[in-house]
Amino acid sequence: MTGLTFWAVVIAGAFSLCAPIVLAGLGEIFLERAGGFNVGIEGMMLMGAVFGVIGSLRGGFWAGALEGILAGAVFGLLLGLATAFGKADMIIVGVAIGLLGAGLSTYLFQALNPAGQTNETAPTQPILHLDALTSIPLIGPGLANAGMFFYLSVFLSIVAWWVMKHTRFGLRLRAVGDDEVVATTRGIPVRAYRLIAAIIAGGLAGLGGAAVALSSIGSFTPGMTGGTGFIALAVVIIAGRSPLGLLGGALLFALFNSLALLAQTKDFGLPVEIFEALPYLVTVAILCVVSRYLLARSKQLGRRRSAPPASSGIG
Amino acid sequence: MTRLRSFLNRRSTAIGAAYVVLGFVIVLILIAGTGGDVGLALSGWFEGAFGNGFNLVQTLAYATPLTLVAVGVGVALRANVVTVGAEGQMVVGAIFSTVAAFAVGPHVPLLVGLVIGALAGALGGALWSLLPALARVRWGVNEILFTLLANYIASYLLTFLLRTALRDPGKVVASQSKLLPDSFDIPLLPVQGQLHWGTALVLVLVVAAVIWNRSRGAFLIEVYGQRPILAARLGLTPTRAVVSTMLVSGVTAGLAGWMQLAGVAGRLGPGVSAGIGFAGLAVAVLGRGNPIGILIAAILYSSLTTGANGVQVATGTTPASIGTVTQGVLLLAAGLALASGRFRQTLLSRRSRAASGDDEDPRPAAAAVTREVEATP
Amino acid sequence: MSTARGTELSLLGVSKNYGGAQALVGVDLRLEPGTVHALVGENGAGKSTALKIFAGLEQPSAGRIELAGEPVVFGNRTAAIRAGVGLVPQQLSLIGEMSLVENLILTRPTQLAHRRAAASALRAVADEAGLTLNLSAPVRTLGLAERQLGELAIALAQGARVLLLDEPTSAIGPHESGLLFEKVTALASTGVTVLLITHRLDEVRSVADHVTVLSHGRVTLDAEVADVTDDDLVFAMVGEIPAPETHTLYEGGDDRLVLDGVTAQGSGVVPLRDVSLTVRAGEIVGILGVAGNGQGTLADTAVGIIEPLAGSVSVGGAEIGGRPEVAREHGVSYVPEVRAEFLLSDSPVTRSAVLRRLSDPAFRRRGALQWGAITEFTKGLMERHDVRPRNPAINAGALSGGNQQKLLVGRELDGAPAVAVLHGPTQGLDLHAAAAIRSDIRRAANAGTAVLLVSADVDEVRELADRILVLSKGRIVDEFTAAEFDLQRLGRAMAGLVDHTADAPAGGAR
Repeated sequence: MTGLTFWAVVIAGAFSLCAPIVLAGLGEIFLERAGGFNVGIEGMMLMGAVFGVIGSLRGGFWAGALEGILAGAVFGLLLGLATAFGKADMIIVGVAIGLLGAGLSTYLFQALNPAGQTNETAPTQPILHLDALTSIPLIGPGLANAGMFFYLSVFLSIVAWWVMKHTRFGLRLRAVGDDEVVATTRGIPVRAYRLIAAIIAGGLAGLGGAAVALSSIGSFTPGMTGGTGFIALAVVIIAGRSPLGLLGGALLFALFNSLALLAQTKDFGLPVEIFEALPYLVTVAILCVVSRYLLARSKQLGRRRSAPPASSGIG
Repeated sequence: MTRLRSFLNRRSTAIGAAYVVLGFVIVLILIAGTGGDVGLALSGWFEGAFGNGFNLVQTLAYATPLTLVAVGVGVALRANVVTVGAEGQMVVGAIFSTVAAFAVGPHVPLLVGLVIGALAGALGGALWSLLPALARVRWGVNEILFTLLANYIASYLLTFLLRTALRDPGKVVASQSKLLPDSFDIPLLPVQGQLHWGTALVLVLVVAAVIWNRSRGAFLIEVYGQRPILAARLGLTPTRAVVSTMLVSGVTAGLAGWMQLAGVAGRLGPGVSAGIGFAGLAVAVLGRGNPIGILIAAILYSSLTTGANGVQVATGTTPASIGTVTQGVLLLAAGLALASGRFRQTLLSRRSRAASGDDEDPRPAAAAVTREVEATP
Repeated sequence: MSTARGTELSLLGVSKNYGGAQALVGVDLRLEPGTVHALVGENGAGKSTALKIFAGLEQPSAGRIELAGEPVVFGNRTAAIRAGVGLVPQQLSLIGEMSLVENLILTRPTQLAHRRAAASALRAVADEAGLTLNLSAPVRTLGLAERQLGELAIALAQGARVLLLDEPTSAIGPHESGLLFEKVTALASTGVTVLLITHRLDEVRSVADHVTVLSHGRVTLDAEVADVTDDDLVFAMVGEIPAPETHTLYEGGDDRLVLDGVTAQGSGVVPLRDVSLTVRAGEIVGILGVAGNGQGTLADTAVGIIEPLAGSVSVGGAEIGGRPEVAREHGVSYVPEVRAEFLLSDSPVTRSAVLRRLSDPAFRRRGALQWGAITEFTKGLMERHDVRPRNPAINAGALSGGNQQKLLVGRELDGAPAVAVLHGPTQGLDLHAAAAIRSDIRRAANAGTAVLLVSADVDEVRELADRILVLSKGRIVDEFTAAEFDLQRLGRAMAGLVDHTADAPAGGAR
């Protein structure tokens, strides 16, 4: 990519870095619409990452992506069973799944790769090389050379948007999250919907984890998701649980992330840690602004007693 | 409260126990499935956690900061405030302690050094918890998300300081600070191994928490956790409830940061918090917010970490990360057990919609908050 | 759904156990097409259980359901909907953030949300039944009466041939109730089978053809409405009711609670506008109005939970606007509409019972709360206000609704506070519990408490209040003393049809 401007490189990086946030965030949208919340998202992503690498080593990229989804979905199943059927508190279960995912992914990695042995590198995502797009200024080169995970993210965002808006499943999911008692009297199997939402959340978080491991590295390191899942949680809130909003929000944060990575190669006169912390700082700042706006709006509209808080903004 | 809460019926206790046993069985199956010897693993765990004086002290040493953090987090949980920020608060507390120690210098008596270190740590933790607390009461920002993200910001702050201002110029590779002046080091207890006087301080704090638990203030905080408007009528405003409990949890986390710095490592390094903050939340839940319960839960939790090293040594094939797996399984079992009992969800019930919305009662809380916002300077 | 054709639907020998408790015992209930069948009984008599079994929300423990003579099993709500059983529950079952059309889509058989098709189906049944409805606005912006008709339309659009109406008038005024029953009888005359659950005997008289009375899970009366007297019905429902405490008619005390030109915005859709009222010591002032006309905001503002945007709220001369703790210190008790808001459901009764007396030195020693003394106090409170079972150690949430309410009202009225604001204190309670609470209210007023009684229950307010104010669209639109009571005038005022307030904005507030 010689000859590209600095900013074109930053943008190209953002296309690649946004995928894990979008994928994990899409799952979170399904879960939150059904009234859930996934504090264990990092654990699910780590499981997706380790199985993504294992699968990719065994059967190539697509096998890796699939195994990542399955690993995450199993954890989603666990979350759904414990909260929807076992009635356990979703924060406790979330923290437990976070620990479990972090521990189990490390355990499996260490059990399969005893210390001292060299790591094999797994096949990473295919690059589509859509050369026709290169001519678009600034973003063209990035788009043309973006990997499969980016295109998957865009595709799945559109699918999720369509499902939410144009299917009965999407409406029912929202009904479950808005008011579980009413949903029951309307004949919706609430717990089943919660379970399905949790499995989708797990599967997409797993795919997001696989995207962390298989975008360009092709190997696993313990804790490698490094807070991406938590960023995804925040972006979902900021985007008002809208899939397309999530895509836009994730791109923005990925832009800062990409800037942070490249800032190390270029002297901006600021410490590199500022750039590294930037995605988190910006997320917190926007979270504050959005929450403040939602609070003001809810005060203005007034809230109905029977409408549970899930339907309104985020605290 | 303990007395009243002891009305657990036998069935729910049995179900709880069954979940925990099932959890351990799953872990043992996992060990067997990855080629480990279950018998060896079990005896290795006991050996590693309690087997000899040195290992026992290791277990207690790790339980010390866990208990401290969990007692503070438990206070916040009572108010239905879930803070996941102890990790970052420990880091900032340790940074403050380090800065204070080097600013004051070596020429002070031990007691002064300890007090300064502890105060600075508490201050750092408090400040880092004040941000999410204020954001929540002023703007309704979800404290779980804020504290999660603030942990990362704190860790980059630490990396930055260790690379620049606080870096030990003598070391070329590892980024860590110089050793603290002697008068800032917490002295060790006269036992075999690395147990410092901070452990005694933590025990004192546990006793204090037991006493506080019986007070009107503690009851009001609990009322706030379940019924914020009712608490407002009793004179406890949302701002005071949230800010005070988050400050308490920040102070304990900051103190824990100071203890890990001045009692264990002796210098500031990147691993000062080492997952203790996050684990503290798990311990608070396992101990069900009760200080004595927390103490027991912390020792159990800690034994899983120290015991896991024993497992690795004994089996030779099973990695020590089995400890984290077991902790996750245990917490999951505890979550299910809590839900199955009669006492279910007293602790965190209203968080169920948790982060998916404003956690206050939807209606009058908005109004109460309105007033709060206008009343807060 | 062109012409709705009714079907016979029956419970035959149905029993239902919850754990050890028998909710229904060998109940036979036959709904005939083209008739309105009333099901009456006290709370806890088994009405809702019977309804849930008809609706597929519960399964009978014994006995069977027959539809048009054939045995059927409704394994879940969806099965009952498919069989043509429509339900209009008491707590309306519409998702507030969605439109009526979207609410209908939730139960349509297609996987895709065909909004246009659903809208035209709903439009068709609404037109046929003569209902004017806003189909595309979020339900939470609709009035309660319109929501109810919306539920009706949705049930019909789902192809309902049997309609189950659960206490449909509990939240709407006399005027809207009349309109609703007009539609219902019209539907019945086209052949639809209607089951009406109610506790109001005048409704049974005016709408129903047939009546079944349940008491303690058994059928105690089953007859044509024309063949029974009101006394028969009451006796079948409850047996004897204890004589109520009489209220010494109010003679005039000092001003206790004064609202002066209060405008406030709560979370309800309707804000409070320029409300002035005074409640004097020993007086019971009733606020009547159709639910959702600003009652909650009024009650919350009167006790300082909501800060008024304009005007003042004072108790015994002290301004308390927006400061709930100050209101409490000045002796303001409060029973909010949602009782759970002021009880600690997941903790033992002692914890809820002591809340008004937390500062009492008798319960504290060296800073520690004395739970032993508090338990003794709680036992006394439960005794005085007849809270059962008399066990201070069980969780407040484990008490029945009536006993929770007695606990709450007892706590708030114990020792005759200066002011008591009571919002729907007997809502949803059986006659015995309601009578006990009304006695508590009278006793407190006799002892000098200034009572502000906010209620949608006309009979209750009429029975208790010295003065009645009518709240409509957030304003006080009419006022009369107990002696001047006139149901006609009241109905018009509650429906917002009062001529002399024509200056009130007609659209209401959003």
